[in-house]
Amino acid sequence: MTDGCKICLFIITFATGYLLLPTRADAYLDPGTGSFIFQAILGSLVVIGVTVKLFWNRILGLFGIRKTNLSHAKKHEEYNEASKQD
Amino acid sequence: MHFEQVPGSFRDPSGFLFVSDGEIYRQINLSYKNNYDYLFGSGLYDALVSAGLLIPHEEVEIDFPDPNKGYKVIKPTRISFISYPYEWSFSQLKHAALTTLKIQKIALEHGMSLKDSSAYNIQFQDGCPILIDTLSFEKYVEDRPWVAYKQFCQHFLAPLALMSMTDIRLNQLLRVYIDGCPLDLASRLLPFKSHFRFSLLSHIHLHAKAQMRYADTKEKSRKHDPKLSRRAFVGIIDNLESTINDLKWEPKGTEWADYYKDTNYSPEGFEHKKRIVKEFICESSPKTVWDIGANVGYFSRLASEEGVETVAFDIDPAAVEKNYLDVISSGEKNILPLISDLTNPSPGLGWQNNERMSLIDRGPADMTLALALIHHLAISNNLPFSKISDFMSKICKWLIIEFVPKSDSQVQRLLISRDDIFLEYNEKNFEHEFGKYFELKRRIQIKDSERVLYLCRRL
Repeated sequence: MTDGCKICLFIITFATGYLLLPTRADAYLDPGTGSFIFQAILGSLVVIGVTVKLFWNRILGLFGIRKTNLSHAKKHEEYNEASKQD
Repeated sequence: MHFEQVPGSFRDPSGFLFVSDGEIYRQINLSYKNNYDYLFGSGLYDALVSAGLLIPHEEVEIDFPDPNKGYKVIKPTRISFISYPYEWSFSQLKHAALTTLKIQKIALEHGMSLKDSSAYNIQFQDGCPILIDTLSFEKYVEDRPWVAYKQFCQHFLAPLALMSMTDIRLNQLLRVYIDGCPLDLASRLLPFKSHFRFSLLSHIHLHAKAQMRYADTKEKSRKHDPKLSRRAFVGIIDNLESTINDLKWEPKGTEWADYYKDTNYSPEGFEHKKRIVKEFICESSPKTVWDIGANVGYFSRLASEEGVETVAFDIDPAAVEKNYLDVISSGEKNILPLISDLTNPSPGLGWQNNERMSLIDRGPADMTLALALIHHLAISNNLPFSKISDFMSKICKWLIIEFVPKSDSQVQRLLISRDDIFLEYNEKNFEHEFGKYFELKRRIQIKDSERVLYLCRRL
């Protein structure tokens, strides 16, 4: 996940989750329900995160493929030069 | 046939462990029949057992302790030594967590899911973590959130985060809270910087708040049960896995981490000590050994390398961690490093103080090694020889013990900042008190040292 994605995800989560949820509960405790509901929310965020990451990887891949070809060509050239010197 | 239900095995309606004629069995109840058959039918049992992740068992034909409910009785492979998460070092707990997640991922591939993720379902066998609760699996139900998520965060993630980011000693919270560290407590104890890691922010801090938000059962007015798609489920498991992987702790900086740089043996003396201990072990041929005050396990390995099941206890988390990392890198199978304070060993815990066994109840061992230890018990902890020998007689049949005289430089260090009130601390009294419980069979003085090794056999 890119740094930009991480920051966005963090801000959204922090803002909605942390500021809206209480710090104490005085009621008869049932901790299980909260975990179930929280999982559903977190699961959606994780799926969004993975989808965004895939999307960005595809965009970067279009540039990345050319970059990789260039670096391979350069290494091939360097190897040829080295072989000639032996 | 006489049966006795294992005291810690009663919460799961799917079945329970019992002991008969000294052997452990598990009754599987009819209520679990479909899941048990699916465990085999789906190929999950074979996949997990062949990967060394689930304890193998065989089905046996013996009477049900509870015939009205029984479907089958199985006999799982015996675990050499039962240990608990509050006795594990950082990496032992981390590997137990990763093993649980690995099992969950494989289970999902076979259409099943763990219905609980308790750290007490994991034991160490042949040096590695393994799941011992065969009844933990249920058929995966589409769109249902992971019922064991909260338990995983409390048993594994919270303690590991606390050990890594706050203090290594906080695994002891697992001794106080038998269902794992409460998330609101972990949230308060973690440093503020933990909020800036998305994984810890969500799985611990926000998770804790969500628990409190929905804790009031009177306010439940939701019409639909929360849904979690399979893709999101796997995403959360992957996220937990990378979170656990990223938690680190360096075993250094504690009191005993570099002990062996600080001893007073000459190189020849140290080798002589190793030879004597090895000779004593071969003479008595124990099947099980407890090395107490084992540090990184130099002397424990004199037993484990001979194929003897060895448990290496030490009070220092860094020493136990180093020992365990060596076990993993060398692939050793016969040695289990554990954290234990001999002056305050693990007590019986849980319902009726019986769900988790005390340390003494998990003994006795055939042999105990008490090397370079007696002065710490007698002088640092004010324990008279009579108390020490009484305790030793309860935990072993054979004892290799090193007497460290008062003139020894290490003892002089212990006495620097305190009055010498230990008028009875001498070899004559040592032999007298230990002689009440043990026959002192052999006595050899270590080269270049005033220390003496004894081989004792309980009377």
